[in-house]
Amino acid sequence: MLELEDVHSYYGGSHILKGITLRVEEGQVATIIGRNGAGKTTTLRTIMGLVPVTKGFIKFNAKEITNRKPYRIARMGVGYVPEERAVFPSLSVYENLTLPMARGREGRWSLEKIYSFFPILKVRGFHRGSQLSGGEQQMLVIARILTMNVKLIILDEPTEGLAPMLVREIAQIVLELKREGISILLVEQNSRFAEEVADYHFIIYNGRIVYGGTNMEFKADDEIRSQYLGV
Amino acid sequence: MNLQFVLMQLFNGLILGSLYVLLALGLSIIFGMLGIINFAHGAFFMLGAYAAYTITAYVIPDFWLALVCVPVLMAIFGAFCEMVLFRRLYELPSLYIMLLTFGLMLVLQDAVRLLFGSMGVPFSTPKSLTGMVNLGFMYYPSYRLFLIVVTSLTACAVWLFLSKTKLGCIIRAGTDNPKMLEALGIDISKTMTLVVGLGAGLAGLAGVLAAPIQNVRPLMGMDLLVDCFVVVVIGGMGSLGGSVVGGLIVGQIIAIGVMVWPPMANTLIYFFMAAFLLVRPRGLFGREAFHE
Repeated sequence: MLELEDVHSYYGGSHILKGITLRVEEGQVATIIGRNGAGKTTTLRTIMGLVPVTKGFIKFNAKEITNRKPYRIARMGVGYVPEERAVFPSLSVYENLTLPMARGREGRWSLEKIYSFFPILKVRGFHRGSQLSGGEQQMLVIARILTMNVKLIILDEPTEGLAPMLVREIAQIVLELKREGISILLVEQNSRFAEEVADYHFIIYNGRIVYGGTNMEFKADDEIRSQYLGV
Repeated sequence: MNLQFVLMQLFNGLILGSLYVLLALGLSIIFGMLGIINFAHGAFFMLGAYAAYTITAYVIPDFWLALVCVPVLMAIFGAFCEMVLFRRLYELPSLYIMLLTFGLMLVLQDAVRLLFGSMGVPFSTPKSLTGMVNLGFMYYPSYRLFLIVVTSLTACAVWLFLSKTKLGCIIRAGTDNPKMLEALGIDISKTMTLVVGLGAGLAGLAGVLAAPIQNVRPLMGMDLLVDCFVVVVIGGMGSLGGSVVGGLIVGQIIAIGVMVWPPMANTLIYFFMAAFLLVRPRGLFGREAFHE
């Protein structure tokens, strides 16, 4: 589904990604775990076309998307949820939600279906984006990319700053999306959350993927966990 | 100072304010979407006035024709500037593109100076609007009244467009966070062309409308542009509602300044801005940490 091969990229003049190789299979939830500054966010931004690739390639659904424009990558079915939530504060919740439908196609994810997943968004429809709580914003941003008929969602630290109850709710949502057949790649610092939702884990260290393993393998490998995550 | 004079000045303030609104709206959407201050905006305004002059003096002496054609022509010109000039610099730090717009301003001003001279050109009020209107409490020039009506209608139309249409929604989202729009599958390069075109069209409209009441001269946009920066700062950077309210406030301040202490009328707005920013650093409707 998603394939990165020896991807390098720079951010603000410094060499951040020094050879990222990873694969996300169809219907799988994969995480990228690593310390601050290891290149997690840059990896996601690079996949989305927001940071140029200087070496290596990225394929999505067997098509090369290296250095394509972000809007083209999005239209192919990649939904990106950045760390800073990216709700448009001056738009209403409804406008935020329907913005990607600008091109007039409504697919598998009708508004009714999205509202049944996230009832709060219907209730808060006419509020401004800036009036939502952190958890509501996170739901809005996830709901918004569903309207684009995404096949792969990339999530940057979806649980950051959320209360434990909301973290559990986000975990439920991630698992339900997986049941709907959507592949998910997420960046996480919260390894408990990662272990709860993911099938596969990658550890990123200093701009390289240094470990890849299934959830079972990862949970059992205390050595790798203590070496790279200090768990 | 009688009441009649005060009312007259307040109306004049409203006129100045409504011109500011047309210019500041364009400045604001361009600032939000492209992340730059368009220094050429005043030159677009000036070009609008000269285009109206050219049409009425050399093509067909019909103000109404100019009123319809000039905004369209200026919108096309703005879109052209975006596609041919601005677009090449988006990848660079925004300072470069601001310098480009500054250069564009100088080029346009000097081109007009070469063609029409630096003294300015005469522009008369359209015949059908030369008289005075009795408002019940005073007589007021009908052209000025017409100007207030047209600018308010235009501001309302722009407002409706931005708040009710899908495209307007995309533009508003773009003023919040253009990168995120791209990640949602929206091709913002088309939106950017449209935004610069819309901004230039509004500036052109303001130029035509101002031509009969201001001196049509190469630097006419320069003064107004500086005032518009004050408008945008008071209204809040990137806020569209702020541009409207800020424009009307600044217009009134100048009008009141003219009554109280004429030599200081234009300086007064800077004092007001400084005082206002001390109380509210992000302006009326500006958001915190806009454009980090």
